[in-house]
Amino acid sequence: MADNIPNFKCAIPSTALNNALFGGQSAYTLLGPDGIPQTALANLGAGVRPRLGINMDFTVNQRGQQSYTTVGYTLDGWRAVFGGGLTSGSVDFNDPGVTITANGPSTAYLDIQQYFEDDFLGKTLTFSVLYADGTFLTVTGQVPASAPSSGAVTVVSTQNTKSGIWIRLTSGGKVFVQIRAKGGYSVSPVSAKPEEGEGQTLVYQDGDGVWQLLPQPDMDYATQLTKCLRYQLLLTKNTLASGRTFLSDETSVECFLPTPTAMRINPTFVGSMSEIVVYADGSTYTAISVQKILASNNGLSIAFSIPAGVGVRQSVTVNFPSGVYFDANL
Amino acid sequence: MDGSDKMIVDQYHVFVKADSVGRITAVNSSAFVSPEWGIEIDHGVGDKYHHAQGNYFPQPIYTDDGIPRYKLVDGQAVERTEEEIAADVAAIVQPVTFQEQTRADLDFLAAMMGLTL
Repeated sequence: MADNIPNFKCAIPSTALNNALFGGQSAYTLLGPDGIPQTALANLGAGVRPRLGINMDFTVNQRGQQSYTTVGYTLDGWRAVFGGGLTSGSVDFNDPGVTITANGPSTAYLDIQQYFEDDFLGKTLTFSVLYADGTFLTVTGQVPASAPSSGAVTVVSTQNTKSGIWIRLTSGGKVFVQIRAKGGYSVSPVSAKPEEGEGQTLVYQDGDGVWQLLPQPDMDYATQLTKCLRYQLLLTKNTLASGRTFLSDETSVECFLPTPTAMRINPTFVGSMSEIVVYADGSTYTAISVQKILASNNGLSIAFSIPAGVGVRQSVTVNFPSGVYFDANL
Repeated sequence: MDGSDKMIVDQYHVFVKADSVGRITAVNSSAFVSPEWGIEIDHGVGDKYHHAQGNYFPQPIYTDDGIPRYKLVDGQAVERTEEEIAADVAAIVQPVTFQEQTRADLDFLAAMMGLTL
């Protein structure tokens, strides 16, 4: 891990850093004689808590839009919702980073939310966000041991004039975090960190009182993308898969599409079925509807219907066009 | 974004498409399709409803023989009986194989030429 950590000098460590990172130990001891934070992090090892969730640096944007203006998923893992009389708003990808804009009265808001796959009932969570303007927000709270009977409850939150952050719990027992832009404001989070336990390990305050990001083990793009592919797989190029027609039905084709990582659940195919082309014995056929999608550790088994004419038990090649995707988001 | 307030959406609606005899041919969720896409059969919270296409029914909606496994009865999705599925399998007209077609062609030519193979 130490190889990935920028080599920067640390001024006198703040109380926050000391409390958050070192858990009562002497920061000076951990920093060692060179006074470099990476030495402290290397010394701490697993003591630096991993980030929960995905895409917490807002770098992965498989959908590819620069601006999202409708309710639903935006950048990978982050879903937009709004309320309070919002008149207009957007979630803009800054590559990296994101800007959330909420236009309307002071009651209006635009949130981006991320749901967690794991069960955190009864556990203590901390959620922290650093913004581009240097603002830093952090909250810690204990998730109730049981889910509410309906809707969603706030575990803990904090707000300022422009923004706010929440840890919330749904009736389905799912924990999610959210970042808000309030009506009339734009906010630009650059990095976030949900983590188990008390105290945050996202930032430290330097000698000038400026919040600085601590290096995170998962901050590189490749690691983030791999995590995101568990929840959504976008085909960025035409992709071929081999398959066959069914045992006794020539209008059903089954094929296997390898995936770089296991998807969370059987995903939903999203795209135009008619753009899926089946090649069989010199002829082409277009898909009609999905009959089955099963996720395994190394790919997806996909069955769909096609017009008659191929013949039973025939080997076929299937072309999935670029732009279609498989959605296993929470 | 504009319009009325949108609060947290936990509930998803499950839609199916059925053929002329009520056999279910496709299933999807309100997360991905509009109500016009099909007939609503259920709603709820969680992956079963959110990702209904591959998770609502306990088994794939088609058998390995390519026969629909479920049907609509009074607006409810129910599993078809083994007899119903077997009847569909039996009704499939099996296309002739390449060898069978070649033999038939040869027999026809031989008959035309008055030969016995």
